[in-house]
Amino acid sequence: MSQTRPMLEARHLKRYFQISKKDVLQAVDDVSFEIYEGETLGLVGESGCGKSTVGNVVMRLLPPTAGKLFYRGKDVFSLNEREGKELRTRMQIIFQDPYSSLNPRKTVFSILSEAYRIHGITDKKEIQRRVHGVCEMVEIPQNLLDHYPHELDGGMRQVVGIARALSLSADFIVCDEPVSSLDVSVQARIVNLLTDIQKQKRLSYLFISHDLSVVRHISNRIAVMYLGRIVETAEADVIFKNTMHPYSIALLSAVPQIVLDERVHRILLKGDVSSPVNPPPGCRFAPRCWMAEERCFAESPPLVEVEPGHQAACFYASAARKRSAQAKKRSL
Amino acid sequence: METLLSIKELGVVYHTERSKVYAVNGLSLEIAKGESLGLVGETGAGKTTTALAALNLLPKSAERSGDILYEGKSVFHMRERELLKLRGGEIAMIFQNPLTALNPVFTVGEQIEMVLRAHGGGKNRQIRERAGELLETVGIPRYRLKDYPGQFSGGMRQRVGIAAALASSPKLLIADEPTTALDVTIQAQILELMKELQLRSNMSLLMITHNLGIISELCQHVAVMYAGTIIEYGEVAKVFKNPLHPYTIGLLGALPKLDGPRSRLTAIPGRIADPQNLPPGCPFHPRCERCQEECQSKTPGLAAIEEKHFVSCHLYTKEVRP
Repeated sequence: MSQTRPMLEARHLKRYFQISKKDVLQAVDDVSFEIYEGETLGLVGESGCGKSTVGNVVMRLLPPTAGKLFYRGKDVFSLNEREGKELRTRMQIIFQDPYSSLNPRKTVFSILSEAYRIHGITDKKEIQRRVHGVCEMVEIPQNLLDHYPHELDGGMRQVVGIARALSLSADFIVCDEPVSSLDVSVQARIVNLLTDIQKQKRLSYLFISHDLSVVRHISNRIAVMYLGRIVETAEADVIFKNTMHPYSIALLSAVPQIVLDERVHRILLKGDVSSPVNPPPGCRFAPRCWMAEERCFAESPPLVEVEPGHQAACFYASAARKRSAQAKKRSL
Repeated sequence: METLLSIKELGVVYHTERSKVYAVNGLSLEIAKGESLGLVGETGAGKTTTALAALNLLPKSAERSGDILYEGKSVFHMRERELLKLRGGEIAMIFQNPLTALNPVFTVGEQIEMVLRAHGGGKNRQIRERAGELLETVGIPRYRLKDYPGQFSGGMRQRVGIAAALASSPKLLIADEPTTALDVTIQAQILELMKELQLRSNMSLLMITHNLGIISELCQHVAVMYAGTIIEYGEVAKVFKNPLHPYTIGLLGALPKLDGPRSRLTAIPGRIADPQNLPPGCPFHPRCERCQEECQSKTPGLAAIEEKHFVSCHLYTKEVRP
């Protein structure tokens, strides 16, 4: 298949939660993206923006309210049970918390061999051979195979989580905050491991995280989410240098950095994220936006291309860029 | 500058049923009046234990050695009455998780007033008035005094925690990972608030965090902790520009950057020293790429390498005296 065809294509994904008779929580509202072979798309945003829900919908752990998803051209949401199971061997997920995502009653070996049993590989020798193969790839020492998850440290548990995702022939992996609960030195090891196996096996990642510097490090392209919508998407380097959406600008400026020579220029947002329950019309960021004008509260800005490969959902995207340079630091 | 808090050769050992946990091992540190000091380290480095020791809040079963002096007076030898004045009065603390640090069955107003009554007191009306002022200082409108913690968002709760900590006009504020549970845009608000308050009131700040960026923005000095000791200490600019200890160098290299080229991260091999089973000699030596024979048997001491920059590593002590 040609390279121009994305491996994964999400079209207008929606996921609403009916939380009471009249209240609807719009966790994901019209999200589209595509991921090519061997590529990492970073999905970044703050808690409650819907990034994990996107991951869960993509993995069919949550049924979508609307929208379509294509894996190599196949319509993922209309598969029958057998095809769905088959697809599980190609699409996998790594979870945030390696403490709760591994069964405490099973040994590492049994965790890693479960997928083979489910997918009809029963020959013990064959299972053993495959488990050892995966362990070699991610550098799990053989002697850990008889251990239980609680005997491993956080980093090693996450490695087991990665090994489990790789145990079948997956070429697309959703990484849902895979390094957020880890210490910096361990985090670096996991990030390196993820990039190494990606190169080796030409994997595609949907890398979900709230940590901008990790996302920048690992991603080819980045999509910034705010309250259920993608507000900006571009190549990783472009989005950091040529930030367009006011929310992305504020988000970037909020990250504490080791800056030795100059003072940090920071845009402080007022207040908290608004509620995703029955959101008002208009741009969802408008209540906190320092550039918002009347139009922003009435009309929802579409995600449009502002330069080749760079999309932003803001009426004043190019103006925001200019103004961010001059924007005065807002106090509380 | 005048020293406010002085930690001298602090050692803390927790006794569990099966073993001893060496949480803090011979840690010495000083905080001057008005100074902001960052204490950085990974999980299990002993940061929080050090903070609790400063307030004499360690569990009775913990075995302590060394001493902690607050304004020249030993915290460990204070009487209960003096300790009550110290805790929440002279030294206030804000915690990582603002939800569990606040009592869910009292309004935030009542909780701030409790601090005011315990330290200072006054007429009810004055206290109520002062609680309102404090809430406004941290950017929350006064009418919310009547609300319960559950009615606030995470960032707002942490603001309430800060307001309660400031109620007694403490001379030292210990902040234990105050923004770890918060989103970056909210974290930025809280950090800005703390910076402002610290400058305005000339209070000292001990900022405990694993985030080097926060230290760089908020603190004058930084102490890097590993396995219960300080392995590097100095002015923030000096330590971050010219890190000396292999662990500090490793930590800085392990951090992905927000600008510049995206080079491969340098992971520190091995895992964090097990406080139940500390290696002999330098606690970092099993993970250190520049480990020498000496490191495996002799514990290095903190030595000055340049002005206001100390490191505890045999590599440098050797270079200094040839």
